[in-house]
Amino acid sequence: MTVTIEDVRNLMKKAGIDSGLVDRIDPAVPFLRQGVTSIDVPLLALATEKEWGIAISDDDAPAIRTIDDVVRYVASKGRGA
Amino acid sequence: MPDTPRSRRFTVARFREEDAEGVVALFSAVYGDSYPIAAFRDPALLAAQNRAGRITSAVARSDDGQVVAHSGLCRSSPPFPRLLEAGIMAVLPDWRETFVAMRLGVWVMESLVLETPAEAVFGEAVCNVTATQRLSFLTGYAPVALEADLMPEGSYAREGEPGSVSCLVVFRSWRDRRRALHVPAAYRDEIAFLLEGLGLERDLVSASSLLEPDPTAISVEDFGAAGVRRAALSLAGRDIDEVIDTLEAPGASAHVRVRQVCVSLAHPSCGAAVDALRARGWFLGGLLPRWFDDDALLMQKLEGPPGFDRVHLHGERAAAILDLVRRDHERARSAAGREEARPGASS
Repeated sequence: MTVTIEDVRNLMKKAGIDSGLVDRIDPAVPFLRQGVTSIDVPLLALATEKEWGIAISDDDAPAIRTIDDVVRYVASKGRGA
Repeated sequence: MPDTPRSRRFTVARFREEDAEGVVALFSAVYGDSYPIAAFRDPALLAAQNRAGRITSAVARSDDGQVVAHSGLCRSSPPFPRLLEAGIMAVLPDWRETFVAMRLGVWVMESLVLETPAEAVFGEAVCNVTATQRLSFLTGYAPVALEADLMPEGSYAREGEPGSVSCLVVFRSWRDRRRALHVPAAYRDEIAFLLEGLGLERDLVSASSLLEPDPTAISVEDFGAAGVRRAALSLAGRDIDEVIDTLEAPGASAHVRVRQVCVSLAHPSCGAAVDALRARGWFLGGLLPRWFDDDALLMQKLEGPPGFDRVHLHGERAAAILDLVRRDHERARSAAGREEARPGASS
């Protein structure tokens, strides 16, 4: 199974981030520059951990700033590769 | 690594007595010097309450040892001592853009709880924003009740909400046993819905509409600063109307704007209690599993009109609970209107 940009968008909606906002997000641009709040980002990280059974280390977390980053990170953990 | 707030390092751990001064300083920085729980204004009391197990604190410390966040579990209103409340969260403003609140909250709700005698945990997630609700749902907690207007006006003014704020009660069971639940006829469908997905085995039996000959068994607690009166009713006797009169009386020292009764569903007379409350304009709040060890039904009554339009919720289940509460409030309001219009009714 491959984790896709669409999967991440769906997860963002499930985590309570505004659907309209999620649909407009450019996968390559940092969340915080597109209206996702600093409260949403940790919740998305937690949702990612729960959804794909991975742990995001505190060292890695700051570098996960875009939808593309999430897809790559999950793949790097052997999920969705 | 970029030098952003998110890259700041911290450690989440159980409270140590040497953290007490730092925790009190944290709460003072976040809430001023009037935080309602005395232990968070007094380091010695905080340490003592942690030793006694009334509070189980967790902290996040920065690399230089400063306490930058606190959360924990505590004994609060429920009569059942192994139902703990999760919360007591404070995060230094400089640290709010880090992952500290999320990491600490998850650790408390998933891990710290296993180091306590808790059989179940509940939380009160504020409804001016949805962040706490979302964190709760992601850690396996489910909404079970809505406490209308629980937090008084001004509590969240700094966050842009000047009015009172409702709280969504969330719940997770860790250990439970199958048991019977007496179900008041008026709320049979609602209780069945609220039990769904909680992992609790319940045999639903019809409650009685008859009062017991014994006096009503009830304990009442006033939260003066918040204007909240909360009662735990375990048996409904023939004096139930006088008991409700007392519940509805003004506060001795502070204005009571929110009244709640947690009605134990262990005793058949809960049906009569709920009938009596409904007849006096009380409305449904939801289910409070394990409140008395056995489950309770939350009934509530407000001094003013509820701020349902200010309630922000995450998820279909939470929205359905608001809908139940809102409809029952409308039923109570209509019934009160009919009673006032009845010839000979007292004003």
